[in-house]
Amino acid sequence: MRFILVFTLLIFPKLLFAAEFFMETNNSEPIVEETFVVDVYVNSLEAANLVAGTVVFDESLLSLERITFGNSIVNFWIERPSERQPAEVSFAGLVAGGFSSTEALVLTMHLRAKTPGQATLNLTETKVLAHDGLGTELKVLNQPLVLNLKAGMPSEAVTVTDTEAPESFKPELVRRDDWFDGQAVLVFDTVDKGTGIEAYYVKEFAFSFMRPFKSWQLVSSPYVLNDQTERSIILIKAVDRAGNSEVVAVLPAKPRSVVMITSFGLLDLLLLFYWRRKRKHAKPV
Amino acid sequence: MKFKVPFLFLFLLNLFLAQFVFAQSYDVDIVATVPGCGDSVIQSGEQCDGSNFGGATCSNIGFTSGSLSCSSVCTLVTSACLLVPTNESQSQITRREDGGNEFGLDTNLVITGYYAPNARVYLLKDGQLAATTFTNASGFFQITVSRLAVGEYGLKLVGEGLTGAILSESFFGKIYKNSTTMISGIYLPPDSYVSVDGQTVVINVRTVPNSEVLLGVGEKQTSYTSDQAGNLSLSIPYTAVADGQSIRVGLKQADRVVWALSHSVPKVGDNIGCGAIGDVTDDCRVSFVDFAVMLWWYLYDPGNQAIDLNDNGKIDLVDFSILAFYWTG
Repeated sequence: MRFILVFTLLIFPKLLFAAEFFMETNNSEPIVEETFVVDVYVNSLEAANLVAGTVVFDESLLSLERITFGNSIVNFWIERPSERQPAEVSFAGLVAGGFSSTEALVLTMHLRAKTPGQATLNLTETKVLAHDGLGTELKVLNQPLVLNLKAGMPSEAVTVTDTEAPESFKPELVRRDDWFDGQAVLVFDTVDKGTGIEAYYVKEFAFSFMRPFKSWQLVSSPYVLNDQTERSIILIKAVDRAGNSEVVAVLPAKPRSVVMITSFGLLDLLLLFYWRRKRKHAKPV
Repeated sequence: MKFKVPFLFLFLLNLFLAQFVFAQSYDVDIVATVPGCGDSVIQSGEQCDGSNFGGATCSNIGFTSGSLSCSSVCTLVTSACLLVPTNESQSQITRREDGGNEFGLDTNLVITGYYAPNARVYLLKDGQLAATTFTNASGFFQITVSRLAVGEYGLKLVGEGLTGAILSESFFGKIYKNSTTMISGIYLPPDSYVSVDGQTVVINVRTVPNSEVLLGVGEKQTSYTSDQAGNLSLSIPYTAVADGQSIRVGLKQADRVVWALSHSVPKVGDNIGCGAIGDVTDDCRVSFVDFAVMLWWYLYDPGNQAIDLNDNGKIDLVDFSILAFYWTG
């Protein structure tokens, strides 16, 4: 009986693991100087809500062109996929509400073959945490990907067109005593189903007519407001990796209207007073 | 006549300055201008025009009944189209693209399901609020989200409960271009409120009317039926839970049970507020704002005890996982 169990586990090692990371490519035999795509997937039969890991490859054989994560299962990145060290792509992300899937896309790497040879992409430091309210770590199987890089004439790269703007979003204004010394902070996040979010930009201005005179400022969330009186109009622009953008506005919590109308009233009174005095002191013709 | 000049000047000055005050109602919604939209003739690039729907009705674009309307940019609005409430015990995902192609319909997502009557239900799309609706007297709801980008979305329904959010299981919907993806048969877990009255534990339940409700105390399960309004009031002796057993309430549908998160029995006089685990900003919800606050502390000062959800002395990935579990959007 024990023999059957050991034999079964040797034949089907996946039975030992609750989750699995694996990679797929559109070209397992790329030609030198050719750009190809490697997708990183997670497979978890148990409900999970957090994935993390690092993809490692040989930098003498491959170079990373870019990373996209538009259609990723991850909703919120704790560590946005990036080449933290040369030839090491790290990521950590949250799936709000959890998932259980046999083929959930985490990220896509666009790689370029540098020299002929056999390149192996390995996954290390991987983590999948269970959606159980305790964050129990699931046992993870990491499947490497082997590529045969060949010499020859590279074919033309296939470009993926993304014409859709990022999803609309609703920024929230937060003020906490223990956060940024109690300053007003804007929190925002959105997704782009095409190529993923590249950057956020902010523009703050007191009145609409000032909009063209203010330039976009590259920011990240959380963003500490320049105008801590919360009387400015704020525009936030999310830009995806193909250059499409979505702009949302945050209207001032304390509009300037009351202050302005009072100021105008005072100005009117001053002018009237001035004219009355002028008329009184004017010499009769 | 001479005296009126200052007033005229003031009037013009105020008029000039007023534009800076009242120009603050800022709208950045990008509204497409469709040439010819508004002339009641459906032209190229238009799905409808005024009351002219070009033969399209709710029923021939995939719904069962209801009324279509036409937006200000001459696109069909399907939010008032209805699906016949079905009694599927399992959730189903169907896709209609024939109607979509014929009438150039936008990419839509329609979700139907059941929860307690006359209660608010909202849809989280990739963890963020996407739409809100109310259930009818029989507990049925329909949520329609239009003009979605093509792709796969992590979806979750949240029912408004008496003391917090009632969460559905997460499900994933793949949205295809020019098609209506319908996800039906979603049952939200019952909403329940547990209180202690002397030596009796009282459990008030709100769920789908006339449905089978299971009460689980420890390993033991007992079956009850909700009334026509979806209510059920249960009492058990305090001794049944005195040794720390938790209480959970589930809705039975055919061969499966949709369980709500379990309750630990409160002590007499306990204040039951909204303070869910993970609500680090104390706004009665667990959303991306809590995530942002936690992420900041994780990156810059992981020793913050107030945000350490599992009390292990630091903010780490496990805390994020706990936050995701209690996510209400």
